[in-house]
Amino acid sequence: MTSLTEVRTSEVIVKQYQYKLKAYMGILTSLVTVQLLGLLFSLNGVGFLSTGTLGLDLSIKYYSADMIIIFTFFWGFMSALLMTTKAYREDDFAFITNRFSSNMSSVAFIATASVIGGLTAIMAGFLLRVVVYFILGNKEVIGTGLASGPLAFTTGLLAMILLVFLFSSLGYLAGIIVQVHRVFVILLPVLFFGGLQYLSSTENWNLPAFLYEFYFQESFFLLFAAKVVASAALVFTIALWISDQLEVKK
Amino acid sequence: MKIIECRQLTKAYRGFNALDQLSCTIEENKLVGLVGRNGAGKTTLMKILSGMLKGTSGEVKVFSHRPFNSLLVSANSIFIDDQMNFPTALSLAEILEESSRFYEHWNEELAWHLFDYFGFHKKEHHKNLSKGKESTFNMIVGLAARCPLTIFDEPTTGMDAAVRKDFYRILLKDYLAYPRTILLSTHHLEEVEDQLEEVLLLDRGKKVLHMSIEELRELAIGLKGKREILAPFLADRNPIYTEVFGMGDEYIVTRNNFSQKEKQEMKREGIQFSGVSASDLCIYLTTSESQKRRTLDDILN
Repeated sequence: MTSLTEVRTSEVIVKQYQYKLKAYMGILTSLVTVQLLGLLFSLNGVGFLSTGTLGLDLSIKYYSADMIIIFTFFWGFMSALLMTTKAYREDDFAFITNRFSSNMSSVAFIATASVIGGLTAIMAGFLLRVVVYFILGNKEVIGTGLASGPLAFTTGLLAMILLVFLFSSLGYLAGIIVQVHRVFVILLPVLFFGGLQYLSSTENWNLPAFLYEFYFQESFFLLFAAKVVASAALVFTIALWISDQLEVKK
Repeated sequence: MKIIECRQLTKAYRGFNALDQLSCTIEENKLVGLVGRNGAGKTTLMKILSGMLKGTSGEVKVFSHRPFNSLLVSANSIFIDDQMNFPTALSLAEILEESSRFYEHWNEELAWHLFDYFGFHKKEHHKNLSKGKESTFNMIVGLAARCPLTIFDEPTTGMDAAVRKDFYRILLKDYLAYPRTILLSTHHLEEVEDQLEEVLLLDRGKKVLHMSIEELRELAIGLKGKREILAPFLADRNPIYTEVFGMGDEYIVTRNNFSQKEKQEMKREGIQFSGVSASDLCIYLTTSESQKRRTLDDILN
């Protein structure tokens, strides 16, 4: 009588998560590249102001780490999308898995990657200031925002992490939808940008403005966090539901 | 205990059925060969059994569970083919370490002994291996995992003759030491038939036969003689295979169920008997109608 191994889903998820930490190192390496690239673009500055009166010349150049942050969002989106591709999904099937545990361990990995991505993106803001200091030589560097107290800093950091997680969840869903049928590679961007264009031109309801208000104008941090986490959870649930029927090794 | 049960299992792809109303059961602790021509449905069946694909209709049970999305089936079975996808970031040694964390009955000793024996290096990467080496490595994982259901799809692809021989020896030895159900598909039945206990022959998605290797060897008989002499004996029989050669000589393969009396009569008439090997018989049994109508000789000449 063959004795069958009974496994608990949670156990398998933990094992898969641990192996993904090792196997998906490449995703974290790409983060470094992406953020350095963002840093490079940020060195150009975002604005320039120059006035001069009575022999006094005042030039102000604005620098912002926005580019690094936008690049990090993009990285989160693309990395999560990559994780849904055939090669990555089949990797899981080399070991013990089902679609649920495979997805859940991926979500856990994405959460970890978001923490690292968010943290480094915020830190890269400091790096930008250091680099600018050296570039400008003996000119004055005035910092704004970054040094506005530990509470504001922590809030900003957490918000950053949550947003990377949200963008990653969208990438994951997009990837899973593409796995269902190739046609979505074209159809999905068309629908997205087309829909965005259409909804932003309608008179009574403007989606981009609504989203901006819904997420970014939220002044109460905990509510913001709840909104982002709930949105990401919803997106992942849809992805999970779709991928539950996906075949591998066709 | 039945390890695998299929009832009316069908897998439809656009335009054709890879599996067509297939019903079969495989008992516990058997070493079963899955045989058939290219496109017979062997790989599709194996992928459904290991939960990778989903049958279109019919029922399939592995360990009494539906394999698709079953963690229990995944934990107790392993599917090894020549397109194994291991995480590209991991070295060979790391893949073995990961496997040992996942599979409960993982045989550490066997894995590393074979790893050294076949000359693998710990820091090598799976994607850089040659075809034969890749198959050898996959085989090591498949054997060391010691899953109650082990499925090998063309495990010897690319292996040289010496490694193939080694593989069959290790397979049998380990199977005897740790009995489990092993399903093995192959195009070289003659190489493995001494190891196999049962053969499941598929043709175009349908089951042709499922029997023990001994029965299969005794199933048919080859008759050689003049056509006129053979004809009366074959009057109410369907020959499995016919080959014409020389001046009205024929070689005919048919069911081996002649009576003793008939055999003696045939012998007197100068008909030669010969056994039909399992692998030849499987080829004869799966010859398609189009091939019967027009032999390759007709095309080549």
